[in-house]
Amino acid sequence: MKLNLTINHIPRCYETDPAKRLQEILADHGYNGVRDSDNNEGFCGSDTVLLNGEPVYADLIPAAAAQGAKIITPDGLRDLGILAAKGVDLTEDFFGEGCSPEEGRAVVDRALLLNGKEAGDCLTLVQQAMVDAGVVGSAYNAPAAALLLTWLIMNDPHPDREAVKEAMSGIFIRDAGYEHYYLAVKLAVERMDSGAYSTQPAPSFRPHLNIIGKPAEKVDGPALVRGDRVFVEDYVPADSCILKILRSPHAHAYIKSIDTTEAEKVPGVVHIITAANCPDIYYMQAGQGNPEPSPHDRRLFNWKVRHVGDRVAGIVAETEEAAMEAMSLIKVEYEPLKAVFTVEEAMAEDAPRVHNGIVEYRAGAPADLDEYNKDAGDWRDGKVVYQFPLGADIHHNVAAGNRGGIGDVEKAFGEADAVVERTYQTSQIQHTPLEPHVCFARMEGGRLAVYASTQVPYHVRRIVGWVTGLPENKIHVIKTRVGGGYGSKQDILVEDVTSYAAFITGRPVYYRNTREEEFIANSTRHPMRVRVKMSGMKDGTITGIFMEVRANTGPYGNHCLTVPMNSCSKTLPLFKCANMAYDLKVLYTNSPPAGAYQGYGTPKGTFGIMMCMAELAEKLGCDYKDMVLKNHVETGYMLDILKGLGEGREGNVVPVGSCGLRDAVLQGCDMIKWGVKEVSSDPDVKIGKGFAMIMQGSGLPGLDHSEAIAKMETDGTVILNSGCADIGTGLDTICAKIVSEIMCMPMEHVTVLSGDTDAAAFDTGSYASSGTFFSGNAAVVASKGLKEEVLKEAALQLEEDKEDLELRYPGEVYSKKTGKVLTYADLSHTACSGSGRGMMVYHGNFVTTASSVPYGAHFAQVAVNTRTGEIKVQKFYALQDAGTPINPELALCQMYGAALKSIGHTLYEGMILDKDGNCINANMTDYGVPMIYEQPDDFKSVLIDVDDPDGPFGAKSISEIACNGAAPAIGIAIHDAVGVWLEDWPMTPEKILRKLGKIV
Amino acid sequence: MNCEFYSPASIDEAVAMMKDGCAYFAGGTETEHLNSRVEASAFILLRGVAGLTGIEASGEDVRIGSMVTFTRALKAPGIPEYFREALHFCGSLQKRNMATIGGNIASWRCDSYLIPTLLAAGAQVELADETGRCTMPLEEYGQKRDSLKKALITAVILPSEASGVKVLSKRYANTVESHAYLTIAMGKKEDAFRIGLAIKGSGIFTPDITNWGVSWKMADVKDDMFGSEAYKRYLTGTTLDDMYEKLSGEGGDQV
Repeated sequence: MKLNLTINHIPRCYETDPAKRLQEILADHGYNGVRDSDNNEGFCGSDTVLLNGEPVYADLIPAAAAQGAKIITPDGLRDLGILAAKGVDLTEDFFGEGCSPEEGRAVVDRALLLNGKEAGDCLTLVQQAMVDAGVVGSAYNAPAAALLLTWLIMNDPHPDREAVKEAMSGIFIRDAGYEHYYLAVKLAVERMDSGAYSTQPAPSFRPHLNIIGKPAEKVDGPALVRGDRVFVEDYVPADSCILKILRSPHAHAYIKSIDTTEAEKVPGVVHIITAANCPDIYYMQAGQGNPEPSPHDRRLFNWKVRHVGDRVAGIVAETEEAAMEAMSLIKVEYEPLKAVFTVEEAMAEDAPRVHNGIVEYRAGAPADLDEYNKDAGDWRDGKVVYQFPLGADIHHNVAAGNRGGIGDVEKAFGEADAVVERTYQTSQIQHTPLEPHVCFARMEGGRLAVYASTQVPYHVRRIVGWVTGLPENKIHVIKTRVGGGYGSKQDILVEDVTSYAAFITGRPVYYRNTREEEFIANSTRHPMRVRVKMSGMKDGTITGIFMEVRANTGPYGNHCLTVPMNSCSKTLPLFKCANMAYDLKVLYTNSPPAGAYQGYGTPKGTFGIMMCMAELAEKLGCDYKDMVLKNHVETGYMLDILKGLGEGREGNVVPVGSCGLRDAVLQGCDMIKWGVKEVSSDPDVKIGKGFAMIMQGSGLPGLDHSEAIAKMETDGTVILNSGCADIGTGLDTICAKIVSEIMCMPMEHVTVLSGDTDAAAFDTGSYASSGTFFSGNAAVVASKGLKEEVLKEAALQLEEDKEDLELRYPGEVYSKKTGKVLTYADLSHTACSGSGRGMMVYHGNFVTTASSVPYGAHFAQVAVNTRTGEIKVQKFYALQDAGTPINPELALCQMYGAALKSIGHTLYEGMILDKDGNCINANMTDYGVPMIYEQPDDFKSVLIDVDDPDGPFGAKSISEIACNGAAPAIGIAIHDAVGVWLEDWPMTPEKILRKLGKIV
Repeated sequence: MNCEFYSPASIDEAVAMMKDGCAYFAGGTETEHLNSRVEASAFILLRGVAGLTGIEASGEDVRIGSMVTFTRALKAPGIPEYFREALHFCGSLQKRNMATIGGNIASWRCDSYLIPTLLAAGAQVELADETGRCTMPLEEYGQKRDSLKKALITAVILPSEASGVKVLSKRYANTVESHAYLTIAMGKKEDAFRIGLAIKGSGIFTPDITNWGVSWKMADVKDDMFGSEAYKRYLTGTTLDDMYEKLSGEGGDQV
């Protein structure tokens, strides 16, 4: 059919299949702000457009139903703003024909007000307000949100909170939460009414600093909110091949045979990769420092499938249709095996072995390894290669283990006034990034170029190198903007096979997970069983803590030691307790794969330890708050417990550094009115309060490593080539602010190029809350080095002593002795001239054994309906010591996003498997994630002001820690409300009713 | 999807186009949805059909054309408050802008936003097919759906607040955007009570209030990802108890 549309005020006519979805049509024709997050589920809202003046999901509209429509796309807002500024009447485009309000044109013009920048960089009113409010994080949905809010203020120039909620009701935001969207609307309305903001988007810190600790425009914010071409999918040429994966229908089976003969005959099929023709190389997909504390337990394709959704074959074809047809023609004969899905099943006597091949060690092999390997099974099991011992025993499905402690817990338990022992269970959680896992790879001049949405570009390069056999100088990884990661993009889950496919075929290859594949074949939060035993005295002193952790890693061991270690290493050090012990085991099972997830194992450990502490306080007759204040660590307390909690090596025993924990607890208790009982007007509804102490880390001291190269360009501007990987959190902005602050120059004269393995030097990547602390400190080192280079060169050019010179805003060298001034532009121009001494460059490198630990406390007030079991989180306060918040508005949004995510984990999120290991809720609607209506009515994030001695300008990490508090805070609040302890998440109404004895 | 689309201008044209293998296409939120249950070789687009978008409130009835979207109904004067509440069960603005009243009824989903409320209110539907037009109670439509597959819903008629009807509805779902696992509605007009009940995975029920206990015991309720049979039975009974108490203004557990 000929489809006639008016798109962003321009008439268009396309020849198309009438059934083709409007989202695809628009994306195919360059409207790249109309994206797809959910495979036409009508959930995420990435495909939002205005159709005849109303927001709709373009993914649910066939071409035939759109005939003649006027459409506004998110990426069109800037151009429409330019048109409006030129006097073009856009009323009908935004309101539809004949639907315009009386003041239609004026309303449209006001709402499209530009920010005064040049066309290439300008933003509309709402787009600018969103950047200023800090909500443009990973931002896959930011353009669609900007469209919705623009539509809102056109229809309601002074919207109240309820109107904003309505406007945002059909769009999923996972990174920043929703709270600052209300702020963005407020800012936009203020500017629309008076030409300027009267509200500060966020508090400012460190008055003696110029830009650090102050709200400032996120450097990638404008491009992201406009819907520019910044994600992997935007770099894919139309002639690229498509990679599709045939996945296992069995949870555990050997592949007896696989026949691709008929599939290969399908026109357009380029290559099919299977266990029979893939490289015989064992590796793992966890993006961790090398050597990794994760076993190399897989090949690209294996002869044994270990979960429903495991890879069986990869089809490279010129079209998706050809790939799908070929997939249907691949004949696979399976030999099904008994499967295990829980840690209990995996630990059972005679449990089937998920891995039953030869075990190898690169270092530290046990003396009896040969004897151990005599019991190996079928050759199709392959092998498991450990880089060093991790306490594994694959014959009992143990992928890793560890135990240790300090003092004598048994003695403490024996002498205590009270002991509580409880087992806590957590569900398997999906990250649900809006941008699914995606990769584009192609050969460029004899090198392999990999466009990746990743948290770990250098680990991607290393692992792609292993798989392809290419040395690192032949691989170029380009980290694009990342549309949501939350840990799942710390793993090399799709880059391995996509890169190999491009390398082996010589063709450009594009791969993108479906939303279902995100659930069944990706990476998830480990389901975990945490048994906590805690003892105390009547005066509230905690005398002993024991934690037993049993983690379900699924079929492969990505992060198998690190995640459960965090359950203990980021919880036990909260306590001044002389007797503490832990026992960790990580079990292989046939459930969907687990891996890194924001917070690693800490949310689960925090859930167990804080719930147990609250119950112990009740048993001892102590006030929980008093017990917290009596037992929490303070600056200077020596953390002996850390000795055994390294990642497969001895940990650093350090004293507690800067610590805002007590302030967070006290301030939070005041905010929530701790100790005051709230009463509902509904007699069936009971209200309770709870809170939890939390901590995390700021990277991995002794393991992480970051580098940055600062160079002054010939006009005096600076480019920082940083190894860091900004995944939407604002890390590039942090680096730019650091350069700007140290070099005394405007931020707009600093450009940060990051995540490109050709352009920068090594960085371990963005995970374990390392970005600000490690990559930020590398930027500090590079900037300070560049400052020295500038002063040295200026001294030579000015013929003065370096000690008499200083840097001065807005980018010049000033002589305190002579009063002479040399601008960076003049300085650098001379340095790079025919007689110059060369460009001023400094290569900074940062490693440390210091640890800047963020602390905090999260508070919840819940209302529980005792007749229906329904739980409403009425209030949630997140108070965190993030050191110096370099980007305060972004810091707050990260806290809101992580806390809301964790409220979802606590109350409803959880993958559900049937008896055969099929995930039965592998879509957004059935899985359930918090949207704007799920946000607590009273939601506050508060930054506790602490200046850390080791962080860059005193900064610590922010976002991971914010995942740790919701479950125990809500669990304790539920107990306060109705007197029952819920020991497993999600904490559903049915579990409440069962605990209350309403159903049996 | 590989199919044709027809664009009739009138109800008569639309019903004349309805043949085996065809399906009506209303808002698209069901038909185009991931894993849609709607299969057809041709779709009859209803968006340009005259006579399907009116809203008329007169006396004790409100007649809403089947192609009226949730959003339009929410904005229209005269829509009973109990029905607005049900329309808001659809939490997404974009979906409410697309989803139509008729489409939601025709889908007859066991997690329907509207059907339990409409059943409890005693709503009627207007239908058209090649044999003519008729009006029947929604409950009857539900019972005869298999034989009415080619019928086009042209409007729904629901009692206005002036009629004296009172309807309470409650939706249970993990989140606003999740599928409801239980939607319960009870209506009262004069001394007559009606119940509309949608249970995910089980179906839509209209148990008679006078023998509620018997009919409820016979209902097929399953354990599933949303909860156990015991939970759903408890919740249904409790919610109906509460609704009865509120509607009758009496205490006790007569339901």
